[in-house]
Amino acid sequence: MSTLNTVKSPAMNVNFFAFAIMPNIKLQSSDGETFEIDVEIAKCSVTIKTMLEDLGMDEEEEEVVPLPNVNSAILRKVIQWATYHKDDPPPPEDDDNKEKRTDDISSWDADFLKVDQGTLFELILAANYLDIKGLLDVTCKTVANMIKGKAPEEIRKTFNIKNDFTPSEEEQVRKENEWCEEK
Amino acid sequence: MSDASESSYLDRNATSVYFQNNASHIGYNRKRKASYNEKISSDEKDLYSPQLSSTLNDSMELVNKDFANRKFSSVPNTPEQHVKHNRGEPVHKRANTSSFVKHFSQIGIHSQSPLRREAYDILYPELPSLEPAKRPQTPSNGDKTGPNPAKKRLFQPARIRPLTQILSNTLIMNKILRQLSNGDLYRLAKVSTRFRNAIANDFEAYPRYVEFLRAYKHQKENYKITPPNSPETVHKTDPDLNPELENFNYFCEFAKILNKNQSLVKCPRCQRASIVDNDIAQCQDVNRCGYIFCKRCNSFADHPKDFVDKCNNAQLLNASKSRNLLGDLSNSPITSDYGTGNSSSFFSSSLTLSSSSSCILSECEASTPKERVRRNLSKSLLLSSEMKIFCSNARNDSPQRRKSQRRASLVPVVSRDGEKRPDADVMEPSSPPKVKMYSVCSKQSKRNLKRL
Repeated sequence: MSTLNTVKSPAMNVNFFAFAIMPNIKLQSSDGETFEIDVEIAKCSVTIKTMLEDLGMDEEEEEVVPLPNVNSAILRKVIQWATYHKDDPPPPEDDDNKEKRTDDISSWDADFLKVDQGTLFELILAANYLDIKGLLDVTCKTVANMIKGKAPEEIRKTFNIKNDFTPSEEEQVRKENEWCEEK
Repeated sequence: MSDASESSYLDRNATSVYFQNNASHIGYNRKRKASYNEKISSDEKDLYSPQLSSTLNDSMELVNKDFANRKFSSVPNTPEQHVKHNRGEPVHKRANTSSFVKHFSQIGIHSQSPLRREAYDILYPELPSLEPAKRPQTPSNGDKTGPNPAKKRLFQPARIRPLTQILSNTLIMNKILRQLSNGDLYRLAKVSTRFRNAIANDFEAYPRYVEFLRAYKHQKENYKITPPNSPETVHKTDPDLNPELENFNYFCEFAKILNKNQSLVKCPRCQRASIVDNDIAQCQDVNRCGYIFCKRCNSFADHPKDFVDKCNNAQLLNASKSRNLLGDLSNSPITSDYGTGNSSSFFSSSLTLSSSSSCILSECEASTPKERVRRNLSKSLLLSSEMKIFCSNARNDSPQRRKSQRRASLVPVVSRDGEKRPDADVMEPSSPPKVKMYSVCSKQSKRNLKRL
């Protein structure tokens, strides 16, 4: 019961009863919120895993792992994703010859990533920082799907980007777009 | 002058000054673009009406008061006007320079740019130069309502957008760009400089982008035809096109007289200019060389009179083939035997055709497929007893005659070795040979009947 009290994120989809058996680890977000999760779940992150191994942090210790680059909202989402995918096999290595597909996102991941763009980009950065390959792949695929098949102006609208080309560069782009010159 | 006359003179002057001032401020002075506010109530109009007093001091006070009560709306062109416009205070209250400067600093002209500040110092040297207006970095704590979102954003410390961080992260961009096609990369590079730089920094995506760009340029139909002032025009220094060469001017002269369909090549024999027209090139040095050749079939001659183009003969043969395609639509069983007969040329076949002069075959040749079909439909009618007699007679004809007919039908057929029959032959229902013979005999028999 004491374990349940220490968990500060009730929205997490975590098997709380397993905490009494499995060793836990505390992760502290940039805004000071602490999340106590299973070590195996935390080891989805290669960064945390390496930290535990290199620093020799004992699993029974009450050490708190600070994550200064991840805020609590994003860390909560990351833990939610890692908890759902904790039993997944390790993702295969990137193969250049393998066909690149972006439509192989599972329905749970698709629902999970139905967030605003800021959160999505923060998740990408967090996944990159924590070195969670599966999460990074799926978030990058989502961003790639937002770019695919769109004209430059549509991409600008999608990501709220300002066209910062100089007039000379614009002229060059316009020339590139010319399909046929007048004879 | 007496005091009374002096005072009346001054009053008159004051009145004239008043009207001049009013006229210049209300609407007659276009430089100031002043417009009188027409929404003045009747009470205000009474207030603004000129009230002249007997003394100069009183009248001047009235004028000043009245002028101060006027409401002007003018476009602020100068800092003073800007202050007046925003401040909305009477003019005489703004006479204090320090207050003006204070309000001027509130406008924010000083904080706009150093150039403007410098221009302000030059334009208004008598005014003391000011420090830029200090902006509160954080909202005041006493403000209960809190700043609006725009202010809140201003007060927040500069924070790098996550998208910017992602674009500057090569590893993440590599993951994203890997999922995109070459065309997507090309379009993405046109979004902004950050995206273009992200693609340029990616070791995998950039070659794909360059490859697509090259292919995209080559897909343009007349990409190489660029206007003379185009920056894409490339002046290649081909050693063969050196103007100092002897042949260069010689070729240029001929190039000027070329038509649209003509081009120039080197004569393979004398290396002089040869004009190419319809793939036939002739050396223009007729007296010395005069070599004529076909670029397509390599047939050549030393003189144009001796030149025989094989390509044109082939075209004639093709024409005869196309003509025979119509003949193949016939239901004649004899035509199915083509290929077994002699493969003769068009000219020889036409001669043979004229020598055979079979009216039956000429009908077959001239008839259209529709007529033939109609004839097939009327086959049953042709199977009358009378016809059978003539058909039997026709069948009993000598084998030489039948042979001659068959040969005559094969005359215009050019050899079709290795050539597929057109689909029209397959589609057309073939009739049994006997019926065809009946049909052939029937016309002959009709004529025989008429003779009888």
